[in-house]
Amino acid sequence: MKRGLVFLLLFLFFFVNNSSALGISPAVVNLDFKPGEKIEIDYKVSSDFSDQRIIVFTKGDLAEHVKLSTNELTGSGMFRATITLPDSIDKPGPHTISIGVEEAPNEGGAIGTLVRVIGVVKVFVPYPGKYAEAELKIGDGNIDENIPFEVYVVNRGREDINVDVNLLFIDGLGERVGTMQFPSHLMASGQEKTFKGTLNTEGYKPGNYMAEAYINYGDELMTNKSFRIGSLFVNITNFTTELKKEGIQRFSIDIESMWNENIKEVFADVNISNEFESITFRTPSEELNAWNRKTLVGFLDTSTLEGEYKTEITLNYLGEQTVTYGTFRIKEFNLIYLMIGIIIVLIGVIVFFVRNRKAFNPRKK
Amino acid sequence: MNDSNLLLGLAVIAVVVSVIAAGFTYLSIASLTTKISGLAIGTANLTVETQASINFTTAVVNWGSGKVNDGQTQAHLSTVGAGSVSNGNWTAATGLILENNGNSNVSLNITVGKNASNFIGGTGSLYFINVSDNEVGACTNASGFALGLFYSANTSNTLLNCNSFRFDEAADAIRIDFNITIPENSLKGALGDIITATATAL
Repeated sequence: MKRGLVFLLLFLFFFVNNSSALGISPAVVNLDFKPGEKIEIDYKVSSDFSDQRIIVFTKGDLAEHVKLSTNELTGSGMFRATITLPDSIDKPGPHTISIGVEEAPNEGGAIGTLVRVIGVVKVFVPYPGKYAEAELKIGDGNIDENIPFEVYVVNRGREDINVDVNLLFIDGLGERVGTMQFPSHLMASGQEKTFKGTLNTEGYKPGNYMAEAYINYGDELMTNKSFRIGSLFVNITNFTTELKKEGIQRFSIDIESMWNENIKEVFADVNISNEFESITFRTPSEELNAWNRKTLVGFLDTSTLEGEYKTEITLNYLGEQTVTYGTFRIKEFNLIYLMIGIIIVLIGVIVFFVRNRKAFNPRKK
Repeated sequence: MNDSNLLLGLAVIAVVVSVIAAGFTYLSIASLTTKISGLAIGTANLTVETQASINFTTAVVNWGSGKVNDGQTQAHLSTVGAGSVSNGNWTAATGLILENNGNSNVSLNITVGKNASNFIGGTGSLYFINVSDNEVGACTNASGFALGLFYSANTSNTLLNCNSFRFDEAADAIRIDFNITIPENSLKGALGDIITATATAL
């Protein structure tokens, strides 16, 4: 009896605090409009509970052209949506059909939940005449490497088009440093094609670049994207130039990678010196991701240091070194500033009393 | 003597059989190697399905049964943090957690089924809702509201539109908190509301 009660309490606890998951797959289906075409899409529905009642529904501007194999499921399962496209759609461009599932409310407490998940079918109706859309993809690379790129073109118009794709590569000074041309390609309405190539960066300087793709199909379309060509160099962008004379202090070095790959180990050897002494310390090693910035931190005991020092920082990475020089100063507590401060306060107090002496003189009352 | 010859003969036969078997094994392996490393050409097909899916990992706020304390005119229940109850004897409860457990970003819309008057009733009842990132960056391009602020729950408004509720594992969960004020003359019995989360694939 007691065991049964415990079980009941546990059951109630888990029932009240249960999760509530619902999913639909595929999430997105892209279609090009073809008059009268019949499309069948099989959907998978996932649910946490095998006895969960799930409602299947459709909505959107073409929903009347969708027939569902069922309007209700119990737990996870499948259904088929059959879309029979009309003979014509007046409005060109994208149209969305929503095909969704909704579970019964979860009502274990004061505030319960209901989950509804909608997959979408995107039907694209071609524009009149010639119309193309394009996207250029190019990533960062390193000098003397081949950087892959691709130009995706889709014919969104009703007419077939003859596509010429030309690329320009422009450096950070605005100078044209390379071109590339693809052979003409005939594309039917709704057809898509990806023009792929590689940019050989031999002879290029490290830095920022721009790729411009010109797509000529009777009309001209341009799309561009910036990219970087890296060199194996880690820059020291900033470092500590002043510390208090107060025991162990943090010495920071800001670094920035100009390399398009991760660098496993980067560390700095720091030397501070003057005519009397020379102190060297090393920062812990850090991993530096491509093109990322990081701060290396070392520790320095400043309790015995005084005045100004020369700084030499040697950054070590992948067998390479970056060296930078500077100065470093120990900030000491300055007695003269304290004295000046006390004098200013005293003068202020005296002026206050002199101006208000009547108020402080008891005989005048 | 005869026994020795017999044993010798058997030993010779055993060696011969072993040598022949080793030869067959060698030929079989050589043949198999040719088949494995030869001219076979195959195509690996792999399709990754898209899935829109959300999960209330905490699906219910359950304060249990209680009442406004004697000498008080109203009680306050909040799900913020570990939850709190003041001027009443309900059990503190935490907020709802909603996770995008699919592999597609979705737009997310959250609505309430009731407002303060028909959920709690009485004089001065309050019903507030607050949506925040449970994992930083989960809800991007929020429109019509600010993450982390309380808004009056209202059935006539679309409370929250998260234009992109991300699926990345490190940034795929939001939290929904509530603040309610229950006056002493509130509705009695089991009171409840339903929060509807609608996720649409992007």
